Amino acid sequence: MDDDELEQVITAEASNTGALSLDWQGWLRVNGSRLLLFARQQTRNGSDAEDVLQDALVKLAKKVAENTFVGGQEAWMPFLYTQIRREAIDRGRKDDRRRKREEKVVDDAKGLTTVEGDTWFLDSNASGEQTKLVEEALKELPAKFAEVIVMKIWGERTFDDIGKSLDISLHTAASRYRYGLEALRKKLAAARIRGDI
Amino acid sequence: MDSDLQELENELREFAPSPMSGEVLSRMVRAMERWEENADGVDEAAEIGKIVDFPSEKKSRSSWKPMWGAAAAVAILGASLGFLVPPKLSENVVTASSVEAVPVLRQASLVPVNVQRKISSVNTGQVADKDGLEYQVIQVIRREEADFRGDDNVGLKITRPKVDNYLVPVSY
Repeated sequence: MDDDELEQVITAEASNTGALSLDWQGWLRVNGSRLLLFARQQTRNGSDAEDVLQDALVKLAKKVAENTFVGGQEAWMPFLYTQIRREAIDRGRKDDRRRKREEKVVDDAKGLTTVEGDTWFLDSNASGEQTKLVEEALKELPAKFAEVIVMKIWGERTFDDIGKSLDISLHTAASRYRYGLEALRKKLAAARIRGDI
Repeated sequence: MDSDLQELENELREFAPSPMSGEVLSRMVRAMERWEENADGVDEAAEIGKIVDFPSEKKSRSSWKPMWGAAAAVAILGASLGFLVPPKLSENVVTASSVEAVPVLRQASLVPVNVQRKISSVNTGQVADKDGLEYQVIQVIRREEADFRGDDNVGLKITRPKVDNYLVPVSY
């Protein structure tokens, strides 16, 4: 079964959530990768990303099971993007406090604590070097630009959805997207000139 | 958006996010299916955001302040009258108002023994506004009553009625 057919089956099953148990596995197969990408962009390393994503998914599952989720299945993704971001911010604050308490300099800068296999993009359509460069360029961008780019391009969210998730206006989301893309273009152009690509 | 950015956007879409590994996917699904075990006890309202509940109406001593204040004022008034009215006239004191005579107490010995609030409503009919919209008139009567006892088992009841009329649309 290809992805389109799988998505149709999941949609048909999920629309009748009252009678059938939800096929979370099927739904995650379709949507999990883009959520994990966003979680990776929001956190400092791969394991934090997975934890943050798991916490957000558990909250969704709880709300759906208790029938307290406002909105239909189309509202799951906006909810999860918002929740992932919140969990990541909370985790970042806790880590900062713990680090200060331990008085230890932990160098968890981008890439240094990368878990093997913890790459943001698949290598299938491009060389491994290109995907790595795009990943590094996104990590170097200011977070407020990178998160909008990730949500827009790979999350396929609208600027309105992005604004609501990030608690900014639609226009601010669109501006950050344009500025972010411009900054990304310059970084990648510099890499081309260096011969990295 | 200019063509360079459009082109970059198209190129970036070609990069597919890495899928979850089988192990990670299973872990996520297990966590979601066992949400009861995994959901922590953090208050949802704190998680979601700034959701402030409407303040619940709690019966506390402070909500009875106006009544206690009125009772204290009556007690002081009663005590004042007891000192001001000559003894030989006290038995014949009659209030000039149309309400029933209130016993004059010589001492400020009133003690509140009970305070009640009674609410009742009466449907008093229908009215229509200038646009022809009809409303049911509901009269809500709040009656706050405080009972006092003094020496020699003398009692005093203070009643404070309040009437509000509510207009409820008949149809909408």
